Parts: sequence; structure tokens; C-alpha cells
Amino acid sequence: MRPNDSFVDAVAENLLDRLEDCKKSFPTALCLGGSLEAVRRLLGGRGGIEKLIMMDTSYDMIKLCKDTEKDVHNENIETSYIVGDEEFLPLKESSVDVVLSCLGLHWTNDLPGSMIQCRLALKPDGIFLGAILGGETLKELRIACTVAQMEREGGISPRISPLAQVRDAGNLLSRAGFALPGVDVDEYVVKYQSALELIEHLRSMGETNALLQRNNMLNRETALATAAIYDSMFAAEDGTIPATFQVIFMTGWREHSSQQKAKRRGSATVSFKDIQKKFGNGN
Amino acid sequence: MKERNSTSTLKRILVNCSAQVKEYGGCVAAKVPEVERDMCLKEFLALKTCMLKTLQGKV
Repeated sequence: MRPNDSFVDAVAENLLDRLEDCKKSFPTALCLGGSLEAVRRLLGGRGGIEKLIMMDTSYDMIKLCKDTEKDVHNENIETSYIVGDEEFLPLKESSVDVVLSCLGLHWTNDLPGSMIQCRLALKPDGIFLGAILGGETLKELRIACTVAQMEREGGISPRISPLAQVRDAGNLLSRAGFALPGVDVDEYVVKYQSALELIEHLRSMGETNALLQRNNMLNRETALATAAIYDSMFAAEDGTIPATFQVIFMTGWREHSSQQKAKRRGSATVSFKDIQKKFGNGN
Repeated sequence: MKERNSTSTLKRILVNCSAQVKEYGGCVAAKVPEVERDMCLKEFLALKTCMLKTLQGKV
């Protein structure tokens, strides 16, 4: 992974900022794979984290993080490292205060299942903060690829694996049983010198396997056609090409009695008619 | 291995054949959203010729 990737850093910053928005502190944190290196590096003491558990499915990734531990000045934080699968969290229930996942969950096969596991790992009133890539991501690349395939091959086949739509995010949070779910979206448009630079960037972010279905390798001619068409359709005046990355931020809490809840249906004590009578009709 | 070479090979082609790339890309972009198979075949063949020359010349 390329160090100090500004797009990934921007997303990690956004995610970590949300810890500041909460009044409480989160002594124990679980950081799930994806961009966990960026999250740790940019933590900067936010959230009052004292114990950090870093988890990724890749042993190499964990090793990299462990080896660079001294470069990240988090001396006050007790860090531990696990190689594990977010679909089978090796954690006790109600053991962490916050679960952070920065651009990792869109890789997961069983996303709803993983999110349920995250919720269970949280202590009551614990928070889940996740950032995933949304459906608008790389729309320019998908368009160029589709057009290229139609012109060169006469048909299209899916090349980019499905990404969550914003409307799905809310459902995911509720299905996982999170209280007070929140979803918001940010679009980042990154400029590249050429379509090739984009592909190289995706490779270094480790996204190519997730985004480009491997069994449908793009043949060389169609790849060439894609690059040419991307340039012609989307290039700016200065020759750079834009690529959209849509990031969906999801927040959810493990239920706790202190949290406000929607009232039970039928428990209203005042009717709209009464309110209308009191304040008069019309505007 | 195909994977290892693919990006830098593609790069060489795009640099060497930039004129043909522009011609082909421009042809397709002008017709979008009406896209039919081989509608820019002539331009693509010019690009392909240049691509093969590039690969033969350097490989």
C-alpha cells in the first residue's frame, strides 16, 4: 500500500473526527482491516482510546502494521494485533467500546453478518463507525469500460463488483440491530494524469480484486479501448482525468437504556387535532 | 507473467500511439450513447497496428 495516500487519509480523518463529536470516550477500540494503517497513524489521541486492537484477514498486512508501530507515536496506547476474519470476529461479546472500519467492509462477502458481529462485540452504548465505497464510485471507469466492451465485443459482462447504494446502508445498519443509525455520503473526485495512473492507484490501494472481478480479465484490446474512451469522454482541459470515489459513512450504536428511543405505537397522549385546536387552523 | 507486464505495456502503447488513441477515443465519444459493435473499427485498427508495432519493436 502506498504510504500517505491522500484519498484514504481523507476518509480516515473524516471517520476519526466523528469520535470527537461524541461526548464520551472509548477506551477499547477494534480497528478492522481495509485502511487500518491510516486510521492508526491519524488517530492523534481522538476518542480517548487506550487499548487498540488491530485486525485484518491478511497476515502480511498485520505484520506491516506491527513493524511500523514505532513510527506511529501512539506510546500511550496498548496495541495488539490479530489476523482474523470480520465475518467470524474472534472477540468476546460486549468487549469493545468502538469498532472502526475504514474502507474495508466492501470487501466482505457477508456484510450484514459482519455488521451483526461488530454490534455484538460492542459494549452497550458502544459505537460502530464504518466507511465503505458506495455505488457511484468509479462511475467514469465503469462507463468507459461498458462503452469499450460494446464497441469492441458487442456485449457487456460485469467487471466491477457491486458496491452498496446509499439506500442500502441504512438497511444494513438496522438489520444488524444498531440503534440510532446514521448514514451520510461524501464524494471525492480524484484527478489522475491518465487512466493508467488510476489503475495503478487502485492496485496500490488493494482495491483491484474487490472491484474488478478476477475471472473476467479484461483482454488487452478492450483495456486499451477503455483507456482511450475514458480519456476522450472525461478528460479535463489540462488532460487530467477525474475519478469519483463515493464514500458512505455509517454510524450505529449498541443499544443502551440511556439512548432515546422511538415511542411505542399507540402511546401518544396528545393528538394532532388537539394541537390544531390550540394553535388555530391554517398557517 | 501477464499481470506484471500489463500496466507498463499498456503505458508504452498509450504513449507511443497517442494520436491513434485520441482518434479512436474521439470517434467513440462522439457517438455515445449510441454505441454499436465496430462502429469505430477503422480507428481501432489503426490503433491496433500501432500497438502491434510497439510490442514488436520493444519486446
